[in-house]
Amino acid sequence: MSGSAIAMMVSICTLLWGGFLFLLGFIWKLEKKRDEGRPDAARKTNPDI
Amino acid sequence: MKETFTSRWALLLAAIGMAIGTGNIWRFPRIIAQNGGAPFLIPWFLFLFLWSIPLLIIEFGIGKKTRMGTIGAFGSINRGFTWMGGFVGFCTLAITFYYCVVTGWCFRYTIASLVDLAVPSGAIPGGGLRGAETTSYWNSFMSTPWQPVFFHLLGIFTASAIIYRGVVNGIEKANKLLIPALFTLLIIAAVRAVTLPGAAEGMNFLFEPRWRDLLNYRIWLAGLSQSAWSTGAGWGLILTYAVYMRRNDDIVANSFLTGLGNNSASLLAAIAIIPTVFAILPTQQAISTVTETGPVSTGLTFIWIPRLFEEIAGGRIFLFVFFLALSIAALSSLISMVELGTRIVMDFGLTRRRSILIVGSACFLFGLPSALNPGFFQNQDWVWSVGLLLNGILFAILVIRYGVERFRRDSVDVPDSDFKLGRVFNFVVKIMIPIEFLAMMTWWFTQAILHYDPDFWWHPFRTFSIGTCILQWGLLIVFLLVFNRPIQRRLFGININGPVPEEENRGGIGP
Repeated sequence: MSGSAIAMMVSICTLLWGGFLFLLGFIWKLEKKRDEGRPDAARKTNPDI
Repeated sequence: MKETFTSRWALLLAAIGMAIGTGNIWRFPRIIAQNGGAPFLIPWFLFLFLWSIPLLIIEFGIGKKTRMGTIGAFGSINRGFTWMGGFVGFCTLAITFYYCVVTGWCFRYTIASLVDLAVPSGAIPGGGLRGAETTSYWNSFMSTPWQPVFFHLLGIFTASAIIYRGVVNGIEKANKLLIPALFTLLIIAAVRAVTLPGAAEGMNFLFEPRWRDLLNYRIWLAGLSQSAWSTGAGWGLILTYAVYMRRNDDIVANSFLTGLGNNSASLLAAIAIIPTVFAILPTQQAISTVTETGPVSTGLTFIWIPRLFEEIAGGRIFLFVFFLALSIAALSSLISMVELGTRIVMDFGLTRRRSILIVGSACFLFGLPSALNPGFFQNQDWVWSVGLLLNGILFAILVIRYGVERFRRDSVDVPDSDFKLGRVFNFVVKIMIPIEFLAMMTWWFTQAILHYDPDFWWHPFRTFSIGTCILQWGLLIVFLLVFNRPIQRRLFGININGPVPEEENRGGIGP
């Protein structure tokens, strides 16, 4: 593969798959935080609640 | 109360399953090859943000706000536009009629490639692909009428059986299984392809930037069209799934993830196919092979892929992986299409069970001509694929008439939103989408006049003419306008003040 093809491949794949995986991770964290904030989740970690 | 997805992940998997269809695996590698490889990727990626994602945001917003299928959703926002919702819904259903047929083909080839795996050597009973002359294999499949009809029935039956179980037990569970499996299969196929000796040439073809090609307007229009068709934006499918999203679920991040997930799968499919072709065939032949359309655009997928996979080590396994991925992609999209029809019928007060029966039977009956006659299939593909571009502008018109700023504040940039869009959304909806729509319509109609049917482009009964589009869209629009008021009365009379259907109370569809 030529250098320019490799550069293009890295750019496109980073933008596309990187963007997809970044958003997945972002939503994952956000949902985890939301789940922890829910009363039933808090009860699971602290039985006294 | 309508059923809702149990989590955000369930909604996202269903949305990605809707977006990834046969077009990602079947059409995208061919289109990228026809447009010279890497330069095409730039407009294709750009228009994801300028056409597809804004329309996905609009669909999510309308579905979440109105909680009705396409007809009810358009009518809820603007009574006078109820017919537009009817056009959007019917256009997607018309595609569903022949998409069931395509799903059936994918099922047939998956079974054939499985037979190859199951039978170690010698004669292959039951129609395996190994050793068969793939063109005559395809022709024999298509010329034995019971086969396309049976597999068409199998496609619609499978999708109907899944959505019969409801949103959580059917759509959600199926997509939780199908989408991770699809990505896994695509990754396996892509890794195999790039590790083949000689695959570098294919990767070079796919990624070598030829900047001068960006001056060619065809590449931009092809990128825009692919982006418009592939993500499912403007089909009304995301609107249908948004009916079942939870009250506090975000719209913007979900739309971006759906669009990026769809394009990620497309790129994986291209990496799985193009280097494989280049690894086996000499360069010029490889280029002509990946750009070849064949009967009803099946050349690369159903004729060349089986032939080429025969040549590589472990080819039979990878052929099965390829067709299984294709079948999963087809099925996950077909589920959303059948659900679109079912949701529309349910809005008229019918139970889910009856609605599925009506929509499933209609899909089977109206899909029969496409299963039996490739000419009819091609005509329907032409008319309603271009019709989808109209769908996109109808969504934009609905929001422009409602007020883009008002829509953004009321439905998109709400406190629960993970991201705020800002005014750039207004610009894209008001300016960019209409311009893109005009460019695409001009382009496709010019193609019809200059290339597809130069002598009879006006003729209403030709396969690829403008006349056939105008005739079929016109008949549909006249029908919808005539019945606009009765549809409104029936729809809103029942859903605003009427009783909840009994089956929903029993819990089949219930909360």
